[in-house]
Amino acid sequence: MMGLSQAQLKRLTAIHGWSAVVLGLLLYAVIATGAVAVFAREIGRWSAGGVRAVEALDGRVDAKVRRLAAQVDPAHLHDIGMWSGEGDDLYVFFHDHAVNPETGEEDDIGSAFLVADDGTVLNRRDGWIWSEPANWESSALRHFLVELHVQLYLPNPWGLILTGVLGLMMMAAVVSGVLMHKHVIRDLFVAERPGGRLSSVRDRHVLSGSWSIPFGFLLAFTGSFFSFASTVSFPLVAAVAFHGDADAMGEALFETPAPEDPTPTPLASLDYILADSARRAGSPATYVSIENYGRADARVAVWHDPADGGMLYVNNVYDGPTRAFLGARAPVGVDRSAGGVVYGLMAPLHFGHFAGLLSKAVWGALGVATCFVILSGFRLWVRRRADQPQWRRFGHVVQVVGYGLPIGMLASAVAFFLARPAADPFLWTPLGFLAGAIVAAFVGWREPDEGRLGRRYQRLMGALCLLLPVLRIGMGGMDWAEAALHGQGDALTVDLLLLIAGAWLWLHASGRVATRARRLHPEPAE
Amino acid sequence: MSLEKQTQRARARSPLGAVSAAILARPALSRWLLAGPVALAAALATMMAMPSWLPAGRAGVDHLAFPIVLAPLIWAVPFFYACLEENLPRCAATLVGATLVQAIVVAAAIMGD
Repeated sequence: MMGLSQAQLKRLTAIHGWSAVVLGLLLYAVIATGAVAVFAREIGRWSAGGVRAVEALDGRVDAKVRRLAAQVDPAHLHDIGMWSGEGDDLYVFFHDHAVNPETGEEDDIGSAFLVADDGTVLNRRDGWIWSEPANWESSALRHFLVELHVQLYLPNPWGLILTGVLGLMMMAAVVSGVLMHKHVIRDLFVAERPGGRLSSVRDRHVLSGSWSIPFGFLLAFTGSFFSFASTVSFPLVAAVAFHGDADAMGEALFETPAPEDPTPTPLASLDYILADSARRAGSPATYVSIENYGRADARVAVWHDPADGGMLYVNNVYDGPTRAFLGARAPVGVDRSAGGVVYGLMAPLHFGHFAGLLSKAVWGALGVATCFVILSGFRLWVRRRADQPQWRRFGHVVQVVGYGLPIGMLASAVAFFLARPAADPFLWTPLGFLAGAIVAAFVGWREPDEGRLGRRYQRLMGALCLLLPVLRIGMGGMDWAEAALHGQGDALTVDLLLLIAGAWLWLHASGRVATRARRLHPEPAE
Repeated sequence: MSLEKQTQRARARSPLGAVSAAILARPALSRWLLAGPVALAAALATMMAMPSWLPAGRAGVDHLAFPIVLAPLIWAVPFFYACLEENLPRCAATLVGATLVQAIVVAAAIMGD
């Protein structure tokens, strides 16, 4: 490829291999949790959702907001954020901006309500809301899995910087992999040589890696963009362009300047604005922001997921008192531009939800395929060094982590359902992950044989998958009859997928699912 | 050209010759430094300089959005250049030179306002 010299090829091979050996297990964790996080919305509905005829933001919102606005500090009417809960409930957050004395940084302070469809206040929290996820998140399981992906559940900003570095490493691995292989197109169709030889292991890695090239590069690039944007890129650009004033830069990028007019003026009907916005966007609202509620200069901004055939989020802006449509706001800036379009594409391309469930399914499947690329790469590395005990031990560690991560995620879901009725699920969900990981490590420590260990892990995963739907319903979740009666497909679908996966894993571990016979022959490294 | 010949030629030209000779005397370390901290410095300097020389675009934000969005690629270019360039002194001169130019642009932008 590209007429590279032997020395250059050797360096690229070293980059490709050693970066994976040093950081590959962490990258596997990010990608595996990412493949799950693609379905974060479905997981939230499955784990914490109730019956919902329509999204909360599709229903009657206006009366709820007006009643709640009368109960809060008037200073907190400066900014209002609204988003749907997991059932027919609605989050409404009245807030202002001030410096948080605990962090020394500007933060949102106010009152956050969780409101049922009939207007009953289910929960109210006051103060610095974003410090505790229980204030704004219904599903501790969804929150944990997403945080595990975004920053490996490490404190800000170190977790983000680490996942950003892993994204760069993945990009380097993809590019070096492409440059190393002389026949990338031919490698798309390579057939694995039989017999479980070293060349067979290489074939699997090359085949899976070749098909994953575009997706791998795209996700690595967009992922590291997200990780570095708030921690590195924004502050650096703001330091030069706005003398370090990140707020000023945020206003230049994301806010539409409006003339100030504090004259008390009632807001127009929110229900009308939301209905009009949904009609224009062709999809339901996902988030609503109201600035300067109760003033003549009030603005209502309504966000929507990309509509059919579109790739960019839709952000419709309305004049608050007159409900006049002021236009669809560009992703950044006050007008459409090349930079705005590129910026706006980052999220849909990374999250994979630009075409609804279909694109999510493709993204999830490609994420799983990328995990296979990493694990097959480790297998190839270890097979090439099979005569060295430390690398054989490393291979054992790879197997433990490879299975241990999904076991931990399943265990976190078990802990979530057990804790939800009477304990703090935000505490017990990550502890459940830890417990699952420790059990997986213990099983791996006790069982040295690769084949037997794999079957034990598969049985454990299968048991957890089969347990979860039973646990969810048993701990008060929506049962199948109720879900079918009310057309709540999320809970039913996830339950069925878990049961199918659990049954398959159990049968596979028992040897009742046919697999190709594979005997490992010691071979000198190619 | 062999490493030894490169070293001899580099030593013959000073003062830069001494720097080149030092680079060639430790090729592995030099490569690590160039692909590591030097590439990172080049990327950060480029990102910070881009708002000064990129056009603002129709919405007046392209010069802000592009360095933020393209940050991963802005790192990848000097990194792979440092990995693939066979002539290490030339690689060092290119990366350090580019970093210095961008740093001067950044300094001018900060002090000029």
